[in-house]
Amino acid sequence: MKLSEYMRNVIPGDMILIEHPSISLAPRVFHVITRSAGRDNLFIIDVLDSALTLKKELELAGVDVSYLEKAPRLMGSGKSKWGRVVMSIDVHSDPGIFMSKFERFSKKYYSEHPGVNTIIVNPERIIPLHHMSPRFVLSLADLAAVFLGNRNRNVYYFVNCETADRRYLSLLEEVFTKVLRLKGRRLTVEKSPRPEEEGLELEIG
Amino acid sequence: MSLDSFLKNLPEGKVLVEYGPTKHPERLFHAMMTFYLDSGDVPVIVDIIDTLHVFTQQLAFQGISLPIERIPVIKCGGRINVGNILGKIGVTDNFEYYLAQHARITKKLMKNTARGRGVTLFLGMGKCIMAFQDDPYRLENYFETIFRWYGTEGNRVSIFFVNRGVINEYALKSLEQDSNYIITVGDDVRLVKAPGRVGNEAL
Repeated sequence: MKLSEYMRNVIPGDMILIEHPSISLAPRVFHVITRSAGRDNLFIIDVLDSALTLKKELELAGVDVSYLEKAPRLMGSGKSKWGRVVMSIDVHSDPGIFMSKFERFSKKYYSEHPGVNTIIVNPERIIPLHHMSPRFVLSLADLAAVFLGNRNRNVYYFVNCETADRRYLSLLEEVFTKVLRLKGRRLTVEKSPRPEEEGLELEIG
Repeated sequence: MSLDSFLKNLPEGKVLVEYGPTKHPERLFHAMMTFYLDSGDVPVIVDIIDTLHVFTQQLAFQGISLPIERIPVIKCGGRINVGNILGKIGVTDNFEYYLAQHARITKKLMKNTARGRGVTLFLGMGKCIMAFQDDPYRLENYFETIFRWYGTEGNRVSIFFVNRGVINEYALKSLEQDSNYIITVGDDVRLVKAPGRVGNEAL
């Protein structure tokens, strides 16, 4: 099955985790997901400029990514100024402060933009900034968990499974409704509420 | 053996449920809750950092509902209240304090309801252990103060759900040693340890 066809099975509220290694076709997966999900209702949460690399790789591959310049973007620190920056949050600051700021903003954004497709790129990079603290890892993963069941939006997390803290990745896998794993050219469905989908190989296209 | 006959014949003891992070422990949780509710043994749930919310939502995405509103819940960390919250305890590595709080809450429950055999399900145990597992002293202290001791008085059944991906090997192996029964949730559900035998039987 093609990834673009699989995207038609996404239901409101689905939380989809895309696990990718460092050398991967993650930019293409990002491209297919944004195209299938609908580019006029995207919300990019860019952690430490990680989405900049995805965007640049697509540009170098000759893909038109002009839609990203108009996309609302929440900057989780970082420096690049592309997109329509709707909020900046300093992820180096006190976790209690930046997480509650993020939660408040996201809840408001989702209620004002129903059906939005949120893409969060490499949130695992915040963990070393907070010294790999287990309590920080628990709080960051719980931040994803509290949004589970919010049917106003779909969320896609891109996480590097080679660099991410194993505990964080395991907590996310437990929380998310769907887990897709990218390895070379293979993208497989590792977890889904529908048992028949598990093990399914998706063509990226 | 079916899960129902396993639970029916389970007199007391600690049951460790280990699951892979991408697997479906919520389905086993649902089957266990259904069994206990049908047999009139209302269990108590210890909900560690919103795991009950995650399980009930995962079930909702599969079109399965669970009548959880009246189930007594002790909330340990986390923010989303599901079930009938009896009391809240913060995630702590002060184990004596935890036990005192836990006893205070359950005492109230014992007074107010007839609870049959006294079954407690701990959801998200890995998260509580994760907070202190890198400190070997604290970890051993936990096993000594809580895990080995808990549930040994009276005919109690304690079921601990642990995401295998969040705890280290030492913590997992220690939990396995001190559990009377071990159930693993992978592509299927298996009983891999029971008193007097080490086996591998589908449930």
